Amino acid sequence: MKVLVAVKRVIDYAVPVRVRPDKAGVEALLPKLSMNPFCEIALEEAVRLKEKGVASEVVAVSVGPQHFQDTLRTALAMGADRAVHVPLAADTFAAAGAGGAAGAGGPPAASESPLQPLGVARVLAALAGREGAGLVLLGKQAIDDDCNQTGQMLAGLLGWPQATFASRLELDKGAAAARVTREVDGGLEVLSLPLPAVITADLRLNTPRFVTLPAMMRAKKRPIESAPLEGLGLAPHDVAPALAVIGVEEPPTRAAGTRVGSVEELVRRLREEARVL
Amino acid sequence: MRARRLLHTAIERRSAFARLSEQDLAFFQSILGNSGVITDADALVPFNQDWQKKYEGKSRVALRPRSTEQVSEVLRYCSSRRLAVVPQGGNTGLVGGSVPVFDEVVLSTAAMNKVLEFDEVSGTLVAQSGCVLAALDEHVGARGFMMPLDLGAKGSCHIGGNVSTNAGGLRLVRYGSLHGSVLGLEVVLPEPLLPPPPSRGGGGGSSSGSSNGATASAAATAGSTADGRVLDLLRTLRKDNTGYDLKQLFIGAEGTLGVVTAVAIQCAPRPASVQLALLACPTFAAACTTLRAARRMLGEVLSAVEFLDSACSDLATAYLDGVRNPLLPQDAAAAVAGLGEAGDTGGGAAVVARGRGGGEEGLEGGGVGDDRQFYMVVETHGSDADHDTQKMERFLEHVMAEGCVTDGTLAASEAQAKTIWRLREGIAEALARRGAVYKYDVSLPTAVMYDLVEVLRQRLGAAGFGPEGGVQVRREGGVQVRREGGVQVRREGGVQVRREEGVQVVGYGHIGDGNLHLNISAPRYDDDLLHQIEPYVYEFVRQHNGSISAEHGIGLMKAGALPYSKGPVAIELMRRIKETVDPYGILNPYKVLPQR
Repeated sequence: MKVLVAVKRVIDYAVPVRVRPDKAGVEALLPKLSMNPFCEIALEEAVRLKEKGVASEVVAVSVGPQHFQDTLRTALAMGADRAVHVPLAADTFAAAGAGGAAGAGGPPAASESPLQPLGVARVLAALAGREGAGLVLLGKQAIDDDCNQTGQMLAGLLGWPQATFASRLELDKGAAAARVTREVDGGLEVLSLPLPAVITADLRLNTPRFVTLPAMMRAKKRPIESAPLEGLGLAPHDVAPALAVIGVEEPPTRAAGTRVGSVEELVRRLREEARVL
Repeated sequence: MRARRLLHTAIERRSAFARLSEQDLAFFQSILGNSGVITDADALVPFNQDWQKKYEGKSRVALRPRSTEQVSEVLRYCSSRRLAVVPQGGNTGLVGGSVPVFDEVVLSTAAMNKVLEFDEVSGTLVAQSGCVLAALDEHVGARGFMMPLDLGAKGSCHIGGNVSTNAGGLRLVRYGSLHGSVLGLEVVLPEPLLPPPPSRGGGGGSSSGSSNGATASAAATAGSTADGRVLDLLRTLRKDNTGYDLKQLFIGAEGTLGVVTAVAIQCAPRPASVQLALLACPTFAAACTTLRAARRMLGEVLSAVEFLDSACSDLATAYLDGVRNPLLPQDAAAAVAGLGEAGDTGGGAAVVARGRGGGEEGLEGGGVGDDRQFYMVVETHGSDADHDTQKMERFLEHVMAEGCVTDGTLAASEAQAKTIWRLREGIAEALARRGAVYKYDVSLPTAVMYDLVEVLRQRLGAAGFGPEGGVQVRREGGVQVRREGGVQVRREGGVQVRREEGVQVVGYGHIGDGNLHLNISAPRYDDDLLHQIEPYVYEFVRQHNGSISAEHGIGLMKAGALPYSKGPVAIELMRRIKETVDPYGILNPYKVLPQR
């Protein structure tokens, strides 16, 4: 069974960000990019399936600008068998006049990014068909846009069952269905999904491995396939952003707390100022 | 008294020092206010006891001045009363230098925590001495800079304490020592070197006699420039050859010559690109070869080179939550901790290293404490991620091809980098949790650094202080106790409890600076064990012309051992300087210089 895993390159989770002066997006205080943590978890799960003999091949795919290939190298080093890059940058739409400002191949700000879940889902749907994937594993959301939509939309486009926020996946070799534990607000929910299916990974699914040097060296020599949109039967308008980010603002600063001198004062202020009594 | 337990020579309280009286407390309160004077016995414990809980004084008061003038007033009074004083920063020192031996007054810099100025063009920072290092790093970090030093204690240590101990840390190999990065100091001396100006009312009037070229910070303490006790060397100049460079005296003086109240320091630009690799080397010689290659191939971007032996790795992963060695399978780490973890989802790779079994009855002994292999942490700081990645990859390919590195990993994200650093930075804490620790910090020629660990391990093992071997099972009060490999594992009420009994000798440290942190971990402090360790370790260091204290300082712990690294003429000159600056010897007595 082939497993398809999509990975996205994002501003590193630990790098502080702030709102850009023009309020069009956010900027990172350090130019550090890494694989989206949830994509990493999805990829780790796929590699473990292969190590158990459940998956025959793990194909990592990334939809985005040229520099996303660095993340595909990491995916290969982590254990993916093949890597596919679908080039998609702001200039894909420059001629079509759609989307945000014309950006070069470098890391875009949120508002300039042509990557939106519906477009990415369409690309992944085409790839899943081309590859004959039996399972698609994705991170539950990207930490730059926090959309949490791609997996769900992909399942809809493919007409496949979906299990999102997976914290545990049980799948035996040759099995026709997967048993997935989901983390939901009220606790845990266990689903059984017939394959093929779409599963999105949540934080506690696993702890991704560190890439060892020998694996890193080998991955450097492996080819990364470039799969342009036309080859997948898609046109730019299929993946053009449908939403434009109008503005980004900082959340209102929390007012500092104040100390009260006595219970009487507390009660008085709760009644008169906070008006909760 | 605890200090005696760890020293060969007993110390006597100097009879010339006065004892604290109610009038003394009243005076301190009048100067510092009630919040600046701590007398409650429970509140005094953290001031009287060091971080390792090895040293405990009996001070009855801790003072928290907020300004240089207040420090000067306190020292003036203490000198006139002959009250001994211990200057104290974050109290993270490792040689008992920051806590009282007897009832010395603790003078804490904790309330002097303001940043005075920061120049974003030159990167020069001026701050009060009680600023916490991590807070300063965050402050300058928001402006694109970083502090030129970094150490495990950064969340608690004060910059004044760093300066007074000439702290080294993780990045000395790149950013140099504080002797180079400190641009200026403001120090309050115990005795005035100049007579007080005529007709001053009530201590510390604000005369406007400020010197030319004073920085904003000196102007803020304008009254004190007329105070003959305040040594104002606070400049932010990179070059200033005007007479003897006095600030160097106070950098590393461990609070025995004056109280540092403000620091001017040169910060470095925060690097745009940071690479971090964790490498496994089969032998220490291979680690040295790797270090040579790192210097040659990473050269100008190399920012840290650390090493640890596998015993350290085992300790850190066993005693700290969430710490793992990325080069070992996680299940093995769980097994070492003796806690059978439910495996990861999907089964995971059920590989368990070194034949350890997880599960019910605890772990098999052996293997811990030997020098199976070594780990190195190699970090680069640079301005261009592409260049540095190429450099790092070329270096990694080279050392793997040469065979001096057998495995390794390059952090792919900040989270992974944190995990790698946690392994190295957590060793001291893990050792403290295991039990008693005898801690040594020495400079040695790099090639022989680990020899000291090995010979000491053999020596202690031969004297009966080794990791205990064999299996013993017995019942203790209805509880089955099994001891193997120096580890006692018992099940109490369904919970597995682990208590280690053997003595372990471990080595780690700044291999890039020739600085070994030698630690002997034992279930309890034991004078017989201590006598096997000292003076053997100091003798070894002297034979190799090394230093008995690379960066931790002398404090109380090594005051008697100073002659192992400094000759009699040097020590005599140190005494003369001390006597000139502090004739009554009230500042941090019993520390640094050997008792006469």
